[in-house]
Amino acid sequence: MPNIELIGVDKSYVAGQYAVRDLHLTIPDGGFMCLLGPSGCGKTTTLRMIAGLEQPTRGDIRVGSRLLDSVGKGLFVPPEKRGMGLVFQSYALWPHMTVTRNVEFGLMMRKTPTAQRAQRAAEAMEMLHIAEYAARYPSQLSGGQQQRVALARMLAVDPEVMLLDEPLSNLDARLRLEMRAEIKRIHQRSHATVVLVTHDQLEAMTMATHVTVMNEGVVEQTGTPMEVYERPASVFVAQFVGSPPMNTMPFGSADVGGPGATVADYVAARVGRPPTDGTGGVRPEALNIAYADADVPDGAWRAPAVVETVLPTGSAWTVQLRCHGEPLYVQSYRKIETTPGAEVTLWATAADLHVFDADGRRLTGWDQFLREQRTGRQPAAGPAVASGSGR
Amino acid sequence: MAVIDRPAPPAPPPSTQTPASRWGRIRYRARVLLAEPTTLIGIALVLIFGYLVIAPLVAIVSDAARVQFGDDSRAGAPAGSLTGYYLWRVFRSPISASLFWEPLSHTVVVGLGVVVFAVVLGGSMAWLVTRTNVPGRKFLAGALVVPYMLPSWTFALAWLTLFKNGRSGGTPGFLETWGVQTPDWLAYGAVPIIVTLGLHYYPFVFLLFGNALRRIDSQLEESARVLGANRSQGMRHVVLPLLLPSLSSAVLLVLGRVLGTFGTPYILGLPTDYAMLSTSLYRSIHTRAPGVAAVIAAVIVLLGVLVVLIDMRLVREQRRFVTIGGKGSMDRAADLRRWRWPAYGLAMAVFVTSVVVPLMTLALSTVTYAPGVFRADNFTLKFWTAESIPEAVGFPHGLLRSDDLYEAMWNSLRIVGMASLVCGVVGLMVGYVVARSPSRRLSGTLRQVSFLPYLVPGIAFAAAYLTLFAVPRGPIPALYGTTLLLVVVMAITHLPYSSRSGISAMMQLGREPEEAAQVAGAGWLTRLRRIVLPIQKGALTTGVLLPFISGLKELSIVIMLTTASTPLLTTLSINLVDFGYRQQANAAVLIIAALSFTVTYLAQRATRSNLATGLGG
Amino acid sequence: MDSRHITIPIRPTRRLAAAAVGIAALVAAAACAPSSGTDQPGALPSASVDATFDLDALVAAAKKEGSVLVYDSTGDIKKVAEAFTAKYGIKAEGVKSDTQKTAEKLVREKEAGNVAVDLTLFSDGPLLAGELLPRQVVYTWLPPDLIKDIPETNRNPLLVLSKANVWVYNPKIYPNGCPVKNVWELTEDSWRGKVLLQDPLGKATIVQWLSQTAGHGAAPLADAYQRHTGKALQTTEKNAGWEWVKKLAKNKPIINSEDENIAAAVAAPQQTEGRIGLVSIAKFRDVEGKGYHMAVCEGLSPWVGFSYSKYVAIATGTKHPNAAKLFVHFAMTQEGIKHEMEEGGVSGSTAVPPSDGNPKGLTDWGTQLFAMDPKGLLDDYQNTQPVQDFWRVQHN
Repeated sequence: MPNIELIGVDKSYVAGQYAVRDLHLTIPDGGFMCLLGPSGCGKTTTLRMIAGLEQPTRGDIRVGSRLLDSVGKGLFVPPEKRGMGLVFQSYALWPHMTVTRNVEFGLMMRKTPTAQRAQRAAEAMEMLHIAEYAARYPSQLSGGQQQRVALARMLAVDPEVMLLDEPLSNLDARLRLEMRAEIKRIHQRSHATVVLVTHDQLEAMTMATHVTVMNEGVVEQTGTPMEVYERPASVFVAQFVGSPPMNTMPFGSADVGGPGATVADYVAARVGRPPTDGTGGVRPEALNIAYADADVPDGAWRAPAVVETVLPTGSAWTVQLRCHGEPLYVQSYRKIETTPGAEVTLWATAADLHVFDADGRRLTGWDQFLREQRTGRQPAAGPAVASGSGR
Repeated sequence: MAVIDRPAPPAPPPSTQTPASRWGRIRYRARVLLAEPTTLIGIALVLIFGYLVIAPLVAIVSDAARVQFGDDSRAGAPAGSLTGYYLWRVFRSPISASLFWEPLSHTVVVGLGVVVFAVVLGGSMAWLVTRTNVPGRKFLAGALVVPYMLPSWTFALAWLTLFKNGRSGGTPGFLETWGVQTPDWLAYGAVPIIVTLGLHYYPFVFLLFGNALRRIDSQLEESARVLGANRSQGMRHVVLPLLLPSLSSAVLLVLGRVLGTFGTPYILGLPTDYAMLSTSLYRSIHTRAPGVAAVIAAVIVLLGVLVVLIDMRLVREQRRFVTIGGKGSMDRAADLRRWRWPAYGLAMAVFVTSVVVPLMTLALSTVTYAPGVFRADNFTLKFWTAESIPEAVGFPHGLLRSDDLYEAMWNSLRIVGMASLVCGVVGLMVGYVVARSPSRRLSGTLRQVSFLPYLVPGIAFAAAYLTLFAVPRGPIPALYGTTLLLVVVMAITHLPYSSRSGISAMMQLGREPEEAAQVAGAGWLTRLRRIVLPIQKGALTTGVLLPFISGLKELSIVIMLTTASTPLLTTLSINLVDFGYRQQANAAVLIIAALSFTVTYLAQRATRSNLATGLGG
Repeated sequence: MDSRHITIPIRPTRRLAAAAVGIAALVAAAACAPSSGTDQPGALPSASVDATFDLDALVAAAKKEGSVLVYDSTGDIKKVAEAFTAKYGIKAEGVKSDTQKTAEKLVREKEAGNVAVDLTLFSDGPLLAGELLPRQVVYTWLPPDLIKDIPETNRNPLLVLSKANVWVYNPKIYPNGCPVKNVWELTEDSWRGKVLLQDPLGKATIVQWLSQTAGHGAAPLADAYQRHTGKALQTTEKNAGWEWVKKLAKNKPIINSEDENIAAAVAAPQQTEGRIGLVSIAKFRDVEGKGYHMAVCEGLSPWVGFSYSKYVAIATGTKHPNAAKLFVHFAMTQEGIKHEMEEGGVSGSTAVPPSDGNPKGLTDWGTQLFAMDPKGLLDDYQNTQPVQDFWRVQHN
């Protein structure tokens, strides 16, 4: 099985404006890559470029040893010769064909012998539990059934590369969960390389082996779901991955609690002089509420806040608080006993604090500090260390 | 300072990228273009249309600026030299008022009148049939299209039969026989022209509007109502803007036809000297004044282009917002309650006036000796079925007994059918390129060029074609005299219907079904054959049927471009008129209408489609 | 981008019209835009007469050519063609097409050098003499063996047949004969809106008639005026002919596009209104067929109608010259032309006896009908437009 490589890919529709810019991406063989990002971030364009439905304005795309697009070499393999599978957001079932004919189409194009074709189509339909609808037309099926047909249509040809463009966005919550498991199962059975486009971080977290977060045509971060969750490379990623999103606090925003309370000071005290500007972040599930200062462990970052509202979800409790005008969320799987209006102290351990620089990129110095702390070494003291100093 | 640093630059790319040379980029784009023949086909279509549409057009219009044979003394220059004489004659001479300005103002009046009439009639009927629970919707949906299948002059004939007074020839009108002297304004001129043309062309509005109404999700209107819009506000702000493209499309088709039709205005306008541009053009052509005819033809084409531009502007403003009814689309009929039967009565009244009356007038004329006399001894079926009619020397038997009829039917079916098939396929290709081509310029050019033939009178086109194709030109052999040329010209002149239907259908079909097939491994031709054509078979059927219906009535092109007589139904009818066998001639017209209707009905049944599908909107 | 499948993006199409026109112009230039009419007008070329003539040789040569295609403005030509085929075994096809379309076709075919129409029986004399013959689109060929029976005036262009339009009335309404005795009465108030004729702006023979009336019809018309009113005509127009045309136009005659309708308006069985109409004598077949009450306005002074001529000419570039000549020959004999004379008509050849189908009341073509002067054809050609303009101005 091949790995997919995009090398220095640009896509621009209007000169000077990029849908995708300087994209370098490697999707490992047999991996499940999720392209994650908000609408218009270039993720669907990227997927369509891999499929060959759109063409880069610069750069190369290869699958395994096979060069599919090379603007430099003037090489282009049309979509129909790429042998991939693609599931569209709208499913794009052919309305004039029955389910069976839809599923068989790809095999027909590959000139599979009739007997084998029928068998493989039946298998695919069986696998997706749509065998009973084989003779129906797409318009006679529900949305979820159509989705299954679209998947079966892709599976029937057993492609080495499966591309899925927001396949679950038109389904209701229950079906979505079901199909998530289905798609994951398909990937595990087929060992194909899967690329899935979504704006739903939960889909990415649950299904993918790798996640690429994109924003405005540029890759923000690539990594395993846990890497992306645990060490978001930028404020954007931090806020996009996780629900509720990560709480972020500008460096200067929390300096009411006296020295040491601002994020900037907290960071500076540990890794040296911080940049003039930046952002700190804590995931809601890592943020804790203390009713007395004494409850806050030593060395933890802290900030005063006022409880605004409590949102129980059944399995968890989400509390919305306001800290210096900024809304913050705390999430816990244990019941949080509090009432709106209560004045509390929020705290998080240094290990749960994410620090980003003025450009929103992760501050590597902070990670290094945490690493060193974990391994028991003292932070490297430099001449610049000056805790509590002003700027 | 060294402790806190910026994140490391991204890891070096895993493989090296091929440097993009200019040449490579060009080659890449060429590869991409060649992988998809859309652009090539588009360019080919533009070139072909350029030759088949623009060249004859230029030939026609160029006569306006050159001294024509026999006009040398009047123009004061030798024949063939450049002249402004015809412009002067049409626009500034003492007779320009009667030659041009009056016809122009009449054309504007009639054009607007017909548009209003057709929109009111067609629009309200479309609403009744698609959005209400009026009884007999299914029947009405089919029946109200029939007026378009009759030659337009049958309406004029019916009108005159009823309303004419002493100012025109022929037998006295019904009202006249009953002692009612109809005023001239009712019998001739603007009013009857507007009404008869309106009755003939309202099916365009009916089809287009009905189609658009059917597509509009009633939830859209309902959500506006929920937000506090009353019924008329809901109509004005939500429904009408969504209908505008189809309205504009229908108006365009109707106006184009009003500009070009001469039969009805000529018959109904002549008694009171009510001339329109088309009749003025017709008279100029008929008295061989090609210079003047060219100027008037140019004005007609310009007016048409103006209408097209207005249409494009309107559509550009509005069409971005056209939504395709997805699964949320609701076909919820408004309950008319106690107005159900009155509404049915109204719809039936329209049906009777626009279908039954003209058809009955024609049918009665075929079964009576003297027209308009209702005595038992005046009725006969012999013009249809008699084995021998000794007094009709040229055609001594009933129409149905004649081999000529069947030969003509076969020729009509064959030639018009072939032309319509070509039309339908080319129209869909035009639609494909317009909707899919990455080049806006290409798609826009194609869109407009393919509509131009609609605005040019058939006879002018046919004459230009004769010159173009009488000799071999480049790779094209001399086509003159072949059935092929007739098919080509018929296809070109009727292409506007098909290309419009193709464009609108392809605009509505997203790229995805095709892309899905492409990814599944289907090449371009396979996609076209197995995905696009089957999905678009409704639009394709419309794209074939409209030219067919219209082509079956075509005469000028046939006479001009056939060398030996290939009898078609129209030529058969006109020959019978010439012999004075009006009964058989009208019977032939009825057969044309019946053929139109049968073929339309069968084609719609076979493809489970509807004429309205994809005509525009 | 995620909603692409829902919203149809419409591309603005500015400057496209200009682009289209640009492309158009280029393509058209490449196509060498054709046009009618670049030759110089000239005098009427003389008719062609073969120095040696042998009918049998002609028949043999014609048979070798195999077929002939002839255009005419009446459907009767089919019968002539059938008779020709029956006699000579040469496939002949007759096509009905009005003069304007035939002329357009002949000119275009000649320009393109691909001639399909071999000959035409053509009833628009002015157009034939003024344009088709001088431009050598067609030529006149005289059958040498018949020439002795063809009067000099009928030879160039070769007159094959005269047909007539006559003023008719309804004898059921006017049992005592035609209510009009003088054509000047048609221009008077009592006949205002009751005179019917075909459209002079659309029908070539009517224009020619008006043109010739305004020309050599002037003197008889002046006399008729004198007889009718007892005093000489005072006119500001050029002559009595123009004056009559003017007065007729101003008297709101009913203009119709079809002879058929004029005949019906005058003579239909249930007609009660008294009218006078100018119709082709061919319409008299309706008298029996449809029970029309129609009679020639016998005694109308100075003419009960006019005769017009149908000429025959062979296409210059014909591929079947001998078959075409043989057809001309055939049309100049009774055997050939009788099929077009069933409702009356006079052959251009004196050897052909007059038709017995002439309507009652039309007994002497020479005196009863206003005859077109063949010498006036070129003038008529030049006059077509001025006469039409004159009519337009007066009729409006």
